[in-house]
Amino acid sequence: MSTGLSPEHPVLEVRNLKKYFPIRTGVLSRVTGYVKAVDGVSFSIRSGETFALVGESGCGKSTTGRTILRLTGATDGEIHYDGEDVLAATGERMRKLRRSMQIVFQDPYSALNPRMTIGAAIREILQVHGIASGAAAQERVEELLVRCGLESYHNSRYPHEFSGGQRQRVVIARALALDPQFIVADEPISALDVSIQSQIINLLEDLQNDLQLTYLFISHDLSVVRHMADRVGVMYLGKLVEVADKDEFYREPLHPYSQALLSAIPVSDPSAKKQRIILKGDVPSPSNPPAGCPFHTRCPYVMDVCRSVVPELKPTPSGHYAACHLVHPNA
Amino acid sequence: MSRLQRGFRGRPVAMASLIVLAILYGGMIIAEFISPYSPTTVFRDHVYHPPNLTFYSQELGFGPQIQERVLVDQLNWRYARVSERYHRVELFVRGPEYEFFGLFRTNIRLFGVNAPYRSGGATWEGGGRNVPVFVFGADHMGRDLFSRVWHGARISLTIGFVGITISLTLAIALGGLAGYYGGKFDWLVMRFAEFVILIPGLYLILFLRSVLSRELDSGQSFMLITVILSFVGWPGSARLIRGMVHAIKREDFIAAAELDGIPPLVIVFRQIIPQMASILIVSITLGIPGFILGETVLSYLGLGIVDPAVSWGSLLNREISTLNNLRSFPWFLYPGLFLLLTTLAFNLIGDLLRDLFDPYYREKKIGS
Repeated sequence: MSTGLSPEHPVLEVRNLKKYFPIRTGVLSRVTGYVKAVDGVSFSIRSGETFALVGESGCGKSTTGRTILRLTGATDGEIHYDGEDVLAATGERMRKLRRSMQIVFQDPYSALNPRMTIGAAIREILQVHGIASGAAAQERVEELLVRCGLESYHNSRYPHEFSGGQRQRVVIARALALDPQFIVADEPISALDVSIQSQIINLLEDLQNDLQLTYLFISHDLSVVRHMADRVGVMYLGKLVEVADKDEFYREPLHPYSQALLSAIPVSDPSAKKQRIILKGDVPSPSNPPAGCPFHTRCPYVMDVCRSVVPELKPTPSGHYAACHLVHPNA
Repeated sequence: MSRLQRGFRGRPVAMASLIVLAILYGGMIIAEFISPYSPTTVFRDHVYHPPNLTFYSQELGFGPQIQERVLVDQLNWRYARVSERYHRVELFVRGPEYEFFGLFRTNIRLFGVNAPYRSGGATWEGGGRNVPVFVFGADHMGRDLFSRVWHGARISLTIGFVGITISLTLAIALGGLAGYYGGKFDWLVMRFAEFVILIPGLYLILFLRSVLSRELDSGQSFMLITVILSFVGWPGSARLIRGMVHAIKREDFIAAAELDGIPPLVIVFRQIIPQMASILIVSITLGIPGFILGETVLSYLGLGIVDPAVSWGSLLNREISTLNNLRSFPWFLYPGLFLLLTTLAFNLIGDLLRDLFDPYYREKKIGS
């Protein structure tokens, strides 16, 4: 299934995506407010690239990934995958979309059904979609396992018989069962041992090269993102605050929040001089975000305009997107 | 499986329960063979005859045997022993004919007395009858209680399984779907379940039984009782299952299954419900005695199994209805003993299973 799209053309386009979770209180469960987990996020991913979403926990990056896959409904916004409106798709078109979009979960322990052998779990998927059954399905399962660095005899094993790294390989094998083009990798390595992390990253990279996959790579580990990503988007409090090519982002982050994040990466050379930006305070509650720029409560360069006007995510002449009044002073 | 075996070995009581149940269910299947008479065979001269099986006499020495008795008090049904009239109880005796599993007709019974009823008369084979052996005594019509207990076991022991099957199927279907879909359907099912729980169980059973037709043959009333008991029994398990489905459906592997386009019903019944297999097994073993006792209560009140069908409840019904009866004919409590053994055995095994499936319960190390 070739998408027929040039590498420059976006395979996934997210426009002004919003996901609000209602807060219900009292006996009558009246909605008294919303947690704005994702609040107007727009970005696009080109075919074959790895787009990384970074940010601290609770900033809405996982919710963004899940909403794109329609694991949770969106409150507002548009998602287009390969020209198809994801949020409006139903029936047969939804089935087709589901075949091409998959997810790799953070926790490989809860991502596998403990009462099914991994072979049975993957075969079920193949059967439901009418791809293969019987001996052909079995062959496909073994092929997938070998491709993900496991042995073909592992198909008759139960999840508890595997180590964490092996489980994550199984999760990846299952995600690949339907030959997807686009994979949301929701912190795929943060639950793993450091020694295993690099193996899984290499596996993901090999698969991307072999199968021309497109990744939405969700992570909070900036050094991994530097290794994996082609482009980086930084999220803060449900909003994208910066989007840039990887090299550009790591060389010259524009948003003060990104600068603070990057300064927190440990450096392997202990003698290297480094200035760390220590942010004060906590992330504000997403149910009651501050007016103006969401970051103004912690920003070291805060100006008056930041407290009242929400900065837009706009490109600089070099194509580096940032939502900050410092970068776009006349906004 | 080895964990189960170790569990049973570490608990002799549960092991004994398992053996008791095996004997009861095995005996139930071959009830005709075990019991010396059919449950409807009437010995008119032996109404309220006490148990007559003994193991020693001067004449015959040690060994299973009976002593003939003769009715001396028509009013109080007192019997006197007839001296020197002992008969050995023998194995594989020819008794009244019966059909074994509907396969072939035979007249070989496990045990019996091989002496004609009247001296010089015919035995069973010759169209007459033998001297009766009453292991548990005889009832108000001179029917052998031992034979009736084994035949009654058929209804009493199967009603538990049939009932738990129906009620658990209902509970899994309704609780599973309510938990998975949530929303209005969930609300509706749970409020209905709470409504059923709210009504005192016994009154609901009595009400349903009296509303639904009275004139039923034994098969129909068996089914009716089972359905009624299941209807009263499902809400508790449905609530339990619904809660667990609620928790499990948030696991990532369910999200993955949804993403893979697996239909919701397949997700509920193939992916979610199997996760609670251990809890379901425990609730089955602990639920069965409830059904057995429910049938007993109904039959005891005369709303369940009635003559000519037999169940343990219907055996208890008539015979211990007055204290006076109980004082004069205490052997009528034998069906109660069987009932006690069965419910106790199920509960003890259920306890063991619950402990084994409980992640916080530690196996006691036995031996190595």
